[in-house]
Amino acid sequence: MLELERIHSHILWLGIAGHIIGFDTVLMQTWRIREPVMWLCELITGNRKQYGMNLIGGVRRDIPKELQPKIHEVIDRIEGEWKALIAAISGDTPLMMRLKDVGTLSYKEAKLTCVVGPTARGSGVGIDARLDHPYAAFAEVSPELKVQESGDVLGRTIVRLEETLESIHVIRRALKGMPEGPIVAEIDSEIPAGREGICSVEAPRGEVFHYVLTGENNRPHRWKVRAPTYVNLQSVPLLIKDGTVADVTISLGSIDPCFSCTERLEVVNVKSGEVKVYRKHELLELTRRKSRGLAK
Amino acid sequence: MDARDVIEKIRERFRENLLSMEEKVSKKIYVTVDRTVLAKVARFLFEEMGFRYIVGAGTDRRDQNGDFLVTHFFSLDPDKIYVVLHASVPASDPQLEVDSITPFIPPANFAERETYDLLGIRFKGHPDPRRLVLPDDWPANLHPLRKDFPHDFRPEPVEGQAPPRKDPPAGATVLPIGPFFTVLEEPAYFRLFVEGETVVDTDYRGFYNHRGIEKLGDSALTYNQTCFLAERI
Repeated sequence: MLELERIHSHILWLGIAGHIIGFDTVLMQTWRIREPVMWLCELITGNRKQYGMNLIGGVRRDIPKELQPKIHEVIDRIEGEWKALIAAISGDTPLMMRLKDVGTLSYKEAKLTCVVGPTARGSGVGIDARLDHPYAAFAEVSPELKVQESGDVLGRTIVRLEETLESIHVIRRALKGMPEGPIVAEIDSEIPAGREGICSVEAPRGEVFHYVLTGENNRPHRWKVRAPTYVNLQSVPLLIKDGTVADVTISLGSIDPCFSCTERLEVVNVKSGEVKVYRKHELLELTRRKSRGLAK
Repeated sequence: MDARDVIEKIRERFRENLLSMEEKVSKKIYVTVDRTVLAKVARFLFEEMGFRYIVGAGTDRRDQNGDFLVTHFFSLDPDKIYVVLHASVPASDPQLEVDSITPFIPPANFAERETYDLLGIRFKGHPDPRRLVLPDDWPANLHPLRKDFPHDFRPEPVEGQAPPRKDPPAGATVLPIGPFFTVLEEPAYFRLFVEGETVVDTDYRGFYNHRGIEKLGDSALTYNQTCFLAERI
C-alpha cells in the first residue's frame, strides 16, 4: 500500500509539474496512467485515498491471494506506460530547459536545511527512511536508493521518475515474499502511561516523523507529527533565490507541497507604491510564455 | 558508528550536565540534559557528529512533573541511529526560556516558533521569533497545546496580533504570492523580494490550515482513532 501511494503520488506530481510550466499533455497522460492505481487501492482497502488501514498493532485488511494477479496486471501496465511517458518527455528540449539549473539546492545547503525525500535525494543526499530506519517489511524488500547530484528541479524530477519504477519492483518482491499469518497483533493489556516512542516513515514527499508519549485514558499524552513539507518548505527561500519570477512556481512545485499558493500575485513597486494584481491565469500565462519562448 | 559510540561521545563531552541517557530500544537513544546545555548538545550532534535535525517539540507535563519538556529529535541516517534530546523547563520559571538552536541549525526555525505558539516556551536568541502557526486574530499569551486549554475552546478574535512582515532589502520590489486559493487545500503566502525578474529574498506566512490534530490526539481521541486521523494528514 505504501508503495502504491508513492506511485500514484509521483505520477500525480509529474502531471502538476507539467501543468505549471504549460505542458498540459503531461497532465492528461499522467492522470490517465494513474487512475488504475486508484482503482487498485479501492479494491484492496475499500477506498481510493485515505485507506483507513492502520491500527495499533497491525492493519485492518489482508491482501488476499486472489487479488495478486490483478495487482500484477495493473503494475505491469503502469510500468510500460510510465517508461513510454519518460521516453516521450525526456527528449523535449523546452521542458528540459525549464527544469535544468532551475531552483537549485546544493548538497551543502540540503545538508544544512535537513531536507528529506526527493528534495534531499535530488541534491545528492542519499537518505531514505525505508533504508535508514527500516519499518514494516522494508528490511526484506529494501528499495534501491535513487540519487541525483544536480540539485535542480530536473534532479528532483528524475529521482521521482526512477522511484516510481523502483516502487513497482518493491511491490513485486513484496507480493512474492508475502507470508501467511495474522494481520494485527492482539493487545490484551492497557498501554501504560509515560512510555515514549519514535518512528519515521518514508512518504512520497519524504520522511514523516512521529513521536508519542503515552498517557492515561487510552490516548497519548503528547503526539508530535512532522510531515516532510515542514522541513522542505524551509528550503524554499534558497531554492528561489537568484532565480526569475517565472521559475518560482516550478521551483516551489518541485518540493511537492500543495500548489494552492499560486492563486494570485500582487506586484508592488516599492518606489511608486503602484500595485498590480496578477490572477492565477495571468501567473500561469507568465510561466507558460517563458516555455513558449524557449520552444522557438 | 553504532549507538554505543554515540552514547560514549555524548557522555565524554557533557558528563556533568547529563541527567539521563538510555538506549531504550535498539538504536533509539533518549538523552535528558540540563536546559542550560540543550543548545550546546544539539550543536555538538549537528555540527560535530553529523546528525540530521528532524524536528523539535514541546510537551506540557505540569500535571506530573511541574514542568514543560522541550525535545529536539536527531537522526544519523546511514547508521540508523536516533537521538531524542530532552530538557526540562520548570513551570515556575516566569520566562519559560531555553536557548534557541536556530542560529546554527536553521531547520529548527519553524519548530521553535511553533513550540512558542502552542506552549509558550521561549527560545532565547531565535533570529526570527514571529508567530508561525496561530492565526492572525489569535490572542497573545494563549497557548492551545497546554493541558489546561480545552480542545474545543474558541477564543474571541482580536486585532493587532498578526506577525509583522519582513522588510524587503533596499531597492527590491515586493511581489506577494497567495495566500488563498479556494479549491485546493493548504494555502500559503510568499512575499517575493525581486529586483527586476530576479528573486533576491522571500518572506513566508503559512499554516492557514493548521487543524490542531496533535491537540485532538492528546485530548479527544483514543489510540486507534488517532491512527485514522494520522492517515489523513
